[in-house]
Amino acid sequence: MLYLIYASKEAAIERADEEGKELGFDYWIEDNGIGTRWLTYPDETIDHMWALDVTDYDLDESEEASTVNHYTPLPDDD
Amino acid sequence: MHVSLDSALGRQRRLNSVGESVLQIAPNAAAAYSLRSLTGGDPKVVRVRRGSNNVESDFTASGVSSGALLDFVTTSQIGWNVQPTFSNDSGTGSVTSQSSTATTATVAFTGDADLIRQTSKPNHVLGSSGDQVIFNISVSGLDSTGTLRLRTSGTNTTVGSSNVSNGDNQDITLNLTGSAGYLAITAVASSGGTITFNSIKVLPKSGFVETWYDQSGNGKDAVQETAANQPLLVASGVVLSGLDFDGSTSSKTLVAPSVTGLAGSLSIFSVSVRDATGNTVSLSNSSSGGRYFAIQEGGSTSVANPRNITSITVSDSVSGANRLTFAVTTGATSTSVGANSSAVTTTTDDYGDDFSGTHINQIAIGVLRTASPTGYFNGRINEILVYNSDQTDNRSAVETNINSHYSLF
Repeated sequence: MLYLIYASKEAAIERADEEGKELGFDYWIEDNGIGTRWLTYPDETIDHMWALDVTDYDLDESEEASTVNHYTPLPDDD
Repeated sequence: MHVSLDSALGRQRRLNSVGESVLQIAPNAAAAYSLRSLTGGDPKVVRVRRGSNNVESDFTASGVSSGALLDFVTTSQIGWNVQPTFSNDSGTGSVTSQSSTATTATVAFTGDADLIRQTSKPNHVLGSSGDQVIFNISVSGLDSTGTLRLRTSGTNTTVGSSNVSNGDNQDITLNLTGSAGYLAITAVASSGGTITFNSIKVLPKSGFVETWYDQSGNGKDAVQETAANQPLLVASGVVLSGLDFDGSTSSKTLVAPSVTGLAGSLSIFSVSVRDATGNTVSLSNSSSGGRYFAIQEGGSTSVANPRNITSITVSDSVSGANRLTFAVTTGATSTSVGANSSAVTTTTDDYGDDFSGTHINQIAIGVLRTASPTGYFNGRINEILVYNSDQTDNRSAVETNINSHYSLF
């Protein structure tokens, strides 16, 4: 798996939105707030960053150079 | 007017009449999810995303049973998504001529062409894992066998491949193992050659659930906007017996957000086929991992698991993978569970506070909770009924209806 790490959830979602548009998901085609929006959704890391699974994303060179193979998720709140 | 004895006595009925739907037997559900009609009419039940090209459509219960859903998912796609333009990206050879139409393409090359592809790696065809892509090709001039590949757009990941050698009108079928994709023709020859794609057809095989519609009339639809987390409904060109949640390898969930009124007595009916231990449904809190009322299907038990400060469990023994589980809580010290129509097992263990106000504000299907998510279900879920009332009196009639449809036990 490949992940990009973002400082904010908003930045990660912005990248997920970009990929969702590129893939032609229904949310973006119909523009009515209905339907699939993202391929993957960011997950919070243990250090409160946001990891986005970009394994199947079309990455540019800069992004390819920034990917990581794993991250530590935020632990359960039990 | 006929008045039943139970009705005359002010009680809810325990037996269902022929032809009655679940929501006629036990009305006023908070939410009700199924692929069959629970209302007696023909309600919208599911929104499905076709895996090959991400097109979505809604289906009614009759649309599922009539084959319309399957037809939608498996409708073949003829021709290119993007017409290919080839160049040789490795080796000393070069592309000498090429042409394409909406449904065909020809590329001729000379010398040592090790990697013929389109440098920008676009989606020449659209397909996803499990789909089939069928090319009819004619090949001439090769002095050795090469490889025709489909790779995921923007990557070098091959998701389907086949040898190519000289011959006219050869059908080549690629069974995709991932998203497709662009053409890459590798190690084709040192002598040059010509490859003509006479036709291209994608046979989609997979459909995913974007929305499981609430049939209660409350509009509490269970949604998954993230493609990677959507449960499977059509696999290998077949409609599955229920929504498939593969909790062993992924995080499939459907969530009805912003649900109000889940307080006081709560009842859940859950119909599933388990592959491994996990939670079919939880009435939970979107921001707190410490408040929920869930059903977990274990190897030999069906478990009710409420928590509103303290997590407690009560289990009912059951055998086999088919599960029809009824769970009810009437307060913090009264929780019961019964599997496959057996008498309920009850605990008076205290889970903290009675559920009230907005302790619970969502219905999550296929997971214990969404805050610090865990307990993903692995198996098929057929039906989920949620009531903000004690449905013990209706249990027998509801379960008779369910079992007569699914033949679970």
